Amino acid sequence: MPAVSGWSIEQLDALLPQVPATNGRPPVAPQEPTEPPENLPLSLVERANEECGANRSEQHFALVAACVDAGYDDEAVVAIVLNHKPTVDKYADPVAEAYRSLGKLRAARGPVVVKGPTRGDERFFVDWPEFWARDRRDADWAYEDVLARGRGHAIFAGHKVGKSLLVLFLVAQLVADGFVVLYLDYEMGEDDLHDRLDDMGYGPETDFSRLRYALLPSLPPLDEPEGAKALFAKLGAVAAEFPDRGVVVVIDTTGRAVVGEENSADTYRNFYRWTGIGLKQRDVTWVRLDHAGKDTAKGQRGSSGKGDDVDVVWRLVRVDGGLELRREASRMGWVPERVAFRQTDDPLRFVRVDEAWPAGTKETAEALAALGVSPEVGYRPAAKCLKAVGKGRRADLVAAAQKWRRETAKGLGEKE
Amino acid sequence: MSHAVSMGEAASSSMLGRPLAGGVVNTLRGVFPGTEVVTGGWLDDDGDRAGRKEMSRLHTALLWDGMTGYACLFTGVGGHYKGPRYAFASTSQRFFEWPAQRKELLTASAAAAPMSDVYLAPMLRASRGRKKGSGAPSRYLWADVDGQWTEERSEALVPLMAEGSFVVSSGSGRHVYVRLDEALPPAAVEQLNRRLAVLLDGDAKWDDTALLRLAGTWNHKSRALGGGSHLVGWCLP
Repeated sequence: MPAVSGWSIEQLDALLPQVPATNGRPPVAPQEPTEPPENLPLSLVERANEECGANRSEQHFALVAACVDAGYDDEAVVAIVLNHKPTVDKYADPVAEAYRSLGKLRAARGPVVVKGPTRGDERFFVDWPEFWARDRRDADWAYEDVLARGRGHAIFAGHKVGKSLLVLFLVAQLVADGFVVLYLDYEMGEDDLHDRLDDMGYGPETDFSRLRYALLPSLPPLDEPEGAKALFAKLGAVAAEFPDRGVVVVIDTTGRAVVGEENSADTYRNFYRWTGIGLKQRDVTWVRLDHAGKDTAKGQRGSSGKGDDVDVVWRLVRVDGGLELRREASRMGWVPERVAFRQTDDPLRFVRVDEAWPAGTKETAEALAALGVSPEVGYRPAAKCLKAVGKGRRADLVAAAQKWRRETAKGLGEKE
Repeated sequence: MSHAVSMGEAASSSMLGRPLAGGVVNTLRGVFPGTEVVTGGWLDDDGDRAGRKEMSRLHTALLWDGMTGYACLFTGVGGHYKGPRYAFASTSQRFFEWPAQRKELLTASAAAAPMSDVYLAPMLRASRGRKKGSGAPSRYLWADVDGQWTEERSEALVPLMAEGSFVVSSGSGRHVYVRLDEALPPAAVEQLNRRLAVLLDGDAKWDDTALLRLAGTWNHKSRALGGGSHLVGWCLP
C-alpha cells in the first residue's frame, strides 16, 4: 500500500504556469483602486446590493450585470467594481473577478451572438489596438446633435406630437447621407407612410434602396431571444448587401415590439439583454420611440427602467413653429441640451434652427405689432402694453416675441 | 511521483479512519480504470442514501483526515435562476469541529442534499467563520473548472494527478483537487490555486473562502430549469 505522497511546492512550481500580472487582460491598473466614472451609477450599486442581500458574490455579479445593462464598457465596469466594497472585500483580485464575471455574463447571454451587420465573425472580439486608438473624446454622430453613432436612443413624446414624423424625416436624411436604415413600424399602415413621404416630397424617383421599412412587422418580441435573433438575421442580410455602410435601426414604438408588461422594468432589461446589447455590439445606431406618460414632464410611459438601457433619452415637445428635442438623460457629455427644428409644410421639412421660439411667440408678436409697440422696446413696457388691453402674457414670452420681431425685421427671424 | 489515478487505493488507506463500505470501494476501483463519469449512474437515486453519505465521507476524509479545524458546510435552498445567475431563496452556513463533529457534518449534509445544494469550503477554518484570512493550512489545491471538459484541459491535468489527487463532477463542471505532500498555509495555497486555475482555464474560486460542491450531494441547477438533479460524484481527469 503506497503512502499518499502528493506534490511538493517545488514540483508544483515547475509544473504550474506563472500567473501573469494581468492574466492576459488589458492593463487597467489592476490592483490600484481606480477612479470610478464621474457618473458612478450608485443606484446600480444600491440595486445590486438590495437584490442580493448579504451575499457578496451575488452582489458583485448583479452589479456587473447592471453595469453592462446600463451600457458601460469593460473598463468602466472594472473601475466601478473596484469601488464596490463587497467585491473588494470578497475577492483578492477584484479585477480578475470582474473580467471573469463579464465573461460569464456574456456566455450566459449567448443568444445575442449572431453575425452582425457591420462586424464579421473576426470582429466578434475587441480589436485591442483599434480599441485603444479610437478617440472617444470627440462627438461621433450619425445625425448631428440627435443620433450618436453606435448608441441607443429613446425618443418619447405625448400623443400626436409628431415623433414618428420627425424620425421618418431624419431617417430619410440619413439614407440620403449613405446610411442603411432598418425601420420597424408597428403603428402605421401603407397609406399613412405614402402620405407622409409624399408630403416630404419623396416619390417613385427617390432612391430608398437603403431604407428597409417594415410595416407592422411580424417579428417575435424583441424582449425575447427569438425576436433578437430574427432581427439580427435581418440585419445580417442587410449588412451583407451593404457591407461598408453605417446602420440605423428604428423601433416605432417600443410598447408594440415587446411582449412584457410596459410597466415592468424587466421588460426593458430583457429588451436590452436580448436586442439592445446585440445592436450595440454591432455598432448599430438604434432608436426606440416611446409614448410619454400622462404627464409628459415625468417621462416615458411605463417602467422607470426604460431609460436605463439607452445612451440618450430625448423628450420631444411641440414648440411654436416646430419641434424641439430636450435631453432627459445622456451618458455622453457632448449631447446638446436642446435641439430645435422649424417645421415647414410644403414640402414637409424639419429645418434645424438654433433655438425654438416658445409656443405663442408669433401670436404675441402680432399682438404687439397691432398695438404699435416698437420692436426695440424692452419686454417690461411691452408686457405692460399687452396687459393694459387685457392681453397679458408671461414675461419670457413677451421677451421672445420682441426678439422675434427684431430678428424678423433683419430677416433672421428663423435662424437656420 | 506516480501519475496514475489510484482513488481506490487512496480511499482504503488508513487516513480514512475506517474501511469504506465495500460497495463504494469496489465501485471506485471498478470505475476509475475506464469509466468516464461515475455520477448519476452507479448509485440508486432513491435507495442509496448511505452510499451517497459514504461519498461525502470519502470526500471530507481525503481533504481533512489527520487535520484539525472547523469544517464549513454551506447549503442553499430554493435554487432558481435570476436571469443567468443561479440564486437561492435562502442560504445557511454551519461550522463543525473537525474531526470531532464529522458525524454531525455528514448527517447534516445528507439530510439537506435532496432539497438543497450543498457546498463545503475545501479549506478547514481556523475558527468558526469563513471570512478571508480565516482558513487553516490545506494539503490540497483545488480548481473549479466550468464548461466543457476539453482534451486540452485533460492533457494539462493528467500529469498532476498524483496519488490522492481526485476530480469531482459538480454537475456543470469539474472540481479538481491536487494533493500536496504537506499542508501549506492559505496564502501559498491561494497562489498555487491561481496558477492551477490558469492552467485549466478554471473559475475564480481559488481563495481561502471558496466553496465547492460536496460529493454525494445533488446539483439542483438543472432541476431549476425543469430537468432532474445531478449527483455530485467522482470522475476521471
